[in-house]
Amino acid sequence: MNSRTRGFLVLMATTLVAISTLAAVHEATRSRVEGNRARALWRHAQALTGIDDLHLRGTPPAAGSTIRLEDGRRLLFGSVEGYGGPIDFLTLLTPTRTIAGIRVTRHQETPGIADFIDQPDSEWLHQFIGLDAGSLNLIDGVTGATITTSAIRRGVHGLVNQVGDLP
Amino acid sequence: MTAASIAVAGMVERNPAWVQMLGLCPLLAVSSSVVNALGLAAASTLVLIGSNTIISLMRKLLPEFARLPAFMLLIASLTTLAVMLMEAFAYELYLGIALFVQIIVTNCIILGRAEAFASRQPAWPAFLDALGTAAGFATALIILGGVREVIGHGTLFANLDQLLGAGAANLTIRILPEHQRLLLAALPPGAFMVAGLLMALGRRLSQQPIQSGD
Repeated sequence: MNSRTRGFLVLMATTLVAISTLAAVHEATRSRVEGNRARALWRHAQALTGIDDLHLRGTPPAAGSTIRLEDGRRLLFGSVEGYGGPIDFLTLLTPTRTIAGIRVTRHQETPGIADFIDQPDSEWLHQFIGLDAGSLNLIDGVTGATITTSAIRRGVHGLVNQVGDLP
Repeated sequence: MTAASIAVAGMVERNPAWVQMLGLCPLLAVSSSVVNALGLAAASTLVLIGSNTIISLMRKLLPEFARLPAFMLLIASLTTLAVMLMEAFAYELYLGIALFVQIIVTNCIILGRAEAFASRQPAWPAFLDALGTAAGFATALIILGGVREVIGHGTLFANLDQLLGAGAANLTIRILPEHQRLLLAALPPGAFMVAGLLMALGRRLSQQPIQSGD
């Protein structure tokens, strides 16, 4: 066997071993990682609503679902396609269906450029407060993060609109 | 070279951060606290020891042209493994520093040791070399993280439970009162300043007096 064939075979074998190891680890840690994500999402929901014992356990609702809180507010679970993948976010609505708060819970937008979307004191997210489905066009975009910001605005709009029909 | 001297050389004379000035991007970015520093140190150690040992075992199978691709493949896989383990077992820390753990792939410390040492040496010395180099990087990270955490946040060992589990939650030591901290030390410019001062101090301490008559 000449060295070219041998090198090729060794590279192929290394690739196969590496991929199968990573796949096995992914499979073995999947339920743990999902549990971690669920806990993190509930923590975001608690911080947004100010309700400390909000569904601590259990799988979080899927994107598009709504929880009606005892005080009449609604917590909406949203997801929208951003620049680098899905952006998961929570929206809190007052009983009169104006927005009381937004929190981005998970995203893969460009680090450094889109950092402002997942900071709790984000001024950009603050703009949403007090708006309703009809006035979301008042949100300013952000240069450099055009797709990210318009995706969130679109996602929030879709989510809030959908609640419009509910009693 | 004896086993001990290989490991010690990696830690002191060839300390990757303080002497060779390698891996400074993650070093400066992540060392804002001890827990972050420990997280990156653990991940780097895993990748460094794994890659050095495996590469040394494979060294005779690999012809010249396949060496670099194989190294990169191994280092990238090990880094991915470290990130996956971190996501499963230290999720809070993962959210904070995963980005910098991922760029271990491009860390020249690891490829450097693979190319300069592991590809020419048997597995045991390669393992010791990785151990020493990793310990050297970890020491640099933890010292820098400790100094920056004390000055920048006034605490030491805060949030260690993110890495070591709930038992470590009470290890936080408050050294400076909350209002006396100097936030600059925890921010990126502070990283450069503290690292520069520590390097200067290290040089000063390790300087041999000049022999007369040389």
